[in-house]
Formats: sequence, C-alpha cells, structure tokens
Amino acid sequence: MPWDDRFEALLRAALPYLSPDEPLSPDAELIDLGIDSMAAVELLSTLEQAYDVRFPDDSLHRETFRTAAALWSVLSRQLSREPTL
Amino acid sequence: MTVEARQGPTLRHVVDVLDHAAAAHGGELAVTDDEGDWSYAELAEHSCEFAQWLRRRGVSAGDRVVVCATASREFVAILYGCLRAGAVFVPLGPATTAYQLGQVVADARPRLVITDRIDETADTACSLQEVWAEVGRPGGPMTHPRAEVAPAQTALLIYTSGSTAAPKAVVSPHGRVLWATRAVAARLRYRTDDIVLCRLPLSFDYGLYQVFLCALAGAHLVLLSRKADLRLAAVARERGATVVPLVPSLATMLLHSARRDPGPSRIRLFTNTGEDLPQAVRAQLREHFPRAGIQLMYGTTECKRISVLEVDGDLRRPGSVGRALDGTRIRILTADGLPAAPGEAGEIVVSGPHVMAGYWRAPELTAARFRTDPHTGEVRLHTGDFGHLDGDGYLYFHGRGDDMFKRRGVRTSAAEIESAARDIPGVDHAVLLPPTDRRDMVLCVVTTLTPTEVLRHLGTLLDPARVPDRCRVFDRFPLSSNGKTDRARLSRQEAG
Repeated sequence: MPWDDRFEALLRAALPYLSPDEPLSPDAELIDLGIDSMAAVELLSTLEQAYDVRFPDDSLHRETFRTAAALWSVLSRQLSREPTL
Repeated sequence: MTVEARQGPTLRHVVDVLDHAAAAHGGELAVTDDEGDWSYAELAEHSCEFAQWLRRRGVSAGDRVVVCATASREFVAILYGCLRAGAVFVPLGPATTAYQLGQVVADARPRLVITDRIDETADTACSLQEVWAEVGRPGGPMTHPRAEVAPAQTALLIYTSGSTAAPKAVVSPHGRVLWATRAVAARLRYRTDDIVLCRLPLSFDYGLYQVFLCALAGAHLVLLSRKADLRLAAVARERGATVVPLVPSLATMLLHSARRDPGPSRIRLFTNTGEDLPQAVRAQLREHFPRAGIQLMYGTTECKRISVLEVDGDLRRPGSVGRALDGTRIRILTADGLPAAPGEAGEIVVSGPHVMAGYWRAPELTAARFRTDPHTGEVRLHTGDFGHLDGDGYLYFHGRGDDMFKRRGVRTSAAEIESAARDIPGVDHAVLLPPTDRRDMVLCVVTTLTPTEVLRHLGTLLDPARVPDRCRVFDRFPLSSNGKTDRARLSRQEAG
C-alpha cells in the first residue's frame, strides 16, 4: 500500500460504496466509490487536522480528490514540506 | 407602498424581465460562470440569437425544449431564448440519470433535447456545445423577436420528485411565474448592486428563480459549478458575493471552507428554502458571517413560494417560516376540511395568483391537489404538508404529508422528532425514517455523541411514543442532486 493506515481509514470513511473487505485501489475513481462534494470538503478538513498540514489553495479542485493516489500525492507533498512537530 | 409601485413596469412575458434589465442596466454584469461574464445587453442578445436558432430548427410556440446541463451562461441564454420563441423550457440538472431523462422525454415529448453531457443520453440529444457554436453563426436578418404569448401560456415545466413513482411536472405559465417572482422579490429585496452566488442547479426552482430575481433587480448572478465546492468561502470573497441562497449541505460546505480560510466577506444575506436549515447551522453561519442576515422561506414548486420570514426573524419567532406572500392566502384545514384555530395543526392550503396551472398531463393528480372551491371558483392548492398559523399569521411548518404517521397511537411527524433531535447539543443533523411495515422508525443523526446518548437526551425532550428505539450515527448524510438530504437513500440503506 503506497500510503499509511490513517490515510486509508480516513479516506474509506468518505467512500460509502467501498465495502470494508474490498481493497482501495490507488487509481479507482473516488466518485464511483461514492464520494461527493460534501464528503470531499469534510475529508479535506479531517486530513488537514489529522496530519497538521494545510492543502495549498491551488490544490483545492476536483483533480486532487479524483483518486486515492492523487490525494495521497498532494498530502504527502505537504507532509514532506511541513514535518509535524 | 402602492401595488403599482411594488409591481414596477408592466411585464406580461417572462422575457420582459430580461429586456427591461437590458434597457435599464445594459452594461451591467448579468451572469458569470467559470468561463466568463455577460452583461445584460449581451445576455439579451444571446437569447435573441438562440430564439432565432430555434425558429430555424422549426421549433414553434408551445413546443417543449428540454435542457439537461450544468448551470452556465449558455443555460440562462437558452432559457430566455426558449421563452422568447414562445417555447416551453424544461430544465433538468446535471445529475439526471439516463433513466430519468428517458422518463422526462416520454412525458414532456419535447421537440428538442439539449445536453452538455457526453454519455449514452447524448445519442438522442443535441450537444449544447455544438448547438452553441451554431447559434453564434449569422443566420438571416437579426431582429429582436419576442413571440406574442398570453400570460396564461406555459413558460416552464418544472419536474419535481414526489410521492408518485414517475416524475411529474408543474405547469408554470408566464403570468404566474412573473407574479411569483415579483411577490418573492418584494420580500427579499435584491438590489442592483447585489452579487448573488448560486451553487444550486437551475433545474431546482430555488436556483432557477435566482435568474429572474436577479434580472428584476438588475443584480449580478454568479453561477458556480462543483469546481468551487472545496473553497466556497474564498470564491464568495473573490466574487464579492452579497447574497447566497442556501440548502443545508451547501451551508455546511461553506462553513467548512470559512473555518479553514477565515477572512472578510461582503455577504449581507443568506436565504433558505427547500430543506430546513438546522438551528446549529444558522448559529455557525452567524458566527462566521456576522454581517449577514438569514431569511427563511417555505414553498413548493406548485406555487413557487408560500411564505417568507423577515431577515433574522428566526431569532424572534423560532420555528416560523414566515407570512404568506402579499396577495396570497394560507389556510390551515383540519382533517374534516374545516379551518383550524390559530395554533391548531392541519394541512397547509394556499390560494392566490402564484398557484401554478397544475401537473402536466396528469388531470387526476391535478384535481386532487389543485382543488376548485365550488362556491367561489377559487383554486386552492392542497400542499399535503402540515403546519399551523399563529395569531399574527405566521406559519409554522410541521412536516411534509408523507412524514406524518402514528406510533403507539400517537400522531406525530418525522419533522417533529427531527426538530427535537437537532436541539440536542452536539447533534448537527437529524433525519427520522418513519416506521414501515418491516421496521420501526429509525433516527439517523450526524453527531459526535453515541446513539445511546442521543436517545437518552431525546427521552428528556419528547414523550416515549416519539422516542425511537434505534438511532444510527453517520459522519454525513447522502445528498440528492439538489443538495438536499437524500431520505430515500438513507431509508434504503437502513432496509438493506
């Protein structure tokens, strides 16, 4: 798995159509797994709090939330920039 | 104020609203989408071009034109262009499935279907992009045509979901659309310098009428696509928004964005209808947008709007959705069909020039809901909703008719239990699924509390018959295409 367990758990919570026994594929379209705008907005807040980072404004578009891989890539870029204390 | 002063210029046709705006504020911005802006003069011009294109396509007065698309400047120009040509505009939102579009096409029998989608539905429809490319091309002498239509002629068919299995359309004539628009405008008082931020689909009448309300005031309508959802507060600031129509989901998204990105805001007014904005959400809006008032409304597509409360009237009269539009009447009728006393609950029945012309090709359903008084000939819209009026004529909404049920011999409504559940500190949203023949009622809540804590607290607020045995906690509720809580989906999840 290319990401950590916390990310997996938080993302899965926003995907009503992904059952717990199914794997979360890096390239699956999150929209097909049931994420909607409301869930994306909440996931953004949750991830920012959990990892103590701030997504840059220019990443706040749908492309960032298109797949798990895309989202993790934006998040991990921020993590490498802003190590948590 | 005299009736004349409130009514403003003589308007007979919905397009008159646009043409007056173009004459009075031609250079002012009318509509903006992700791709750019049009002034009122430009919007009027594009609507003329589209009307001419329709004529070249052989569309004539009374023909239906279905548009299934995301809100955009072209959507608005097509809307006015259809009306200018005397055609009937049938708006559908971007979330419409191919199955639903098929149902609407079978029912409306349109001359033309235009969509911005690129899926299987595109086979039987014209591409909006291709249509628009043709519209711009010169095609004969350019006039400013406006079909002569009587006020009683149909302007819009607005499809609504409801208790019936198949979609049904509310027939909305020019005269009544105009009347309703002006009656609502008299309460909301949009101003020429307002910038109205609309993230609602234009298939939803709450979204669609923003187009007419803005034109009537000469205000600027900014249409947002879902691209803006992650940064709504920032977008509102960048656009200089002063008015934002809200449904609860939109309010929650706006609040998330305002929390992570606080800053100044020019928003002076939030409006709400369609789904009750919970008290907790209103309190958070007031905290984050201290300069903005909140104006609550209640209505149904069958008459557009029923009541409007004063700005921040919810603080003075908690639970009220306001007074009837001026020139209209709200009656509360008991189960026997008799007028209820002030404070007594019953069915909400409305009459006035805003009551639309019934359901499209559904005479039985129309007769059941739009009942003609045998003595006066007046049409009374039986909403199927329940509520009461107080001594001052303020309406309190109790629930949609479908929400009313009896449990343990007590008549109650989902709205009543939901309202109590939302008053529990820590509960953000609550939806009650009424009992079915297979299960008892279930309370669904968005909260940080445990189900037991919620039910225990609810037991202190309501009598045992109104306290469910089961409570399920959600991180969030599924949403319908209009951004309302999708009760049907919650109910299916609960059944499965």
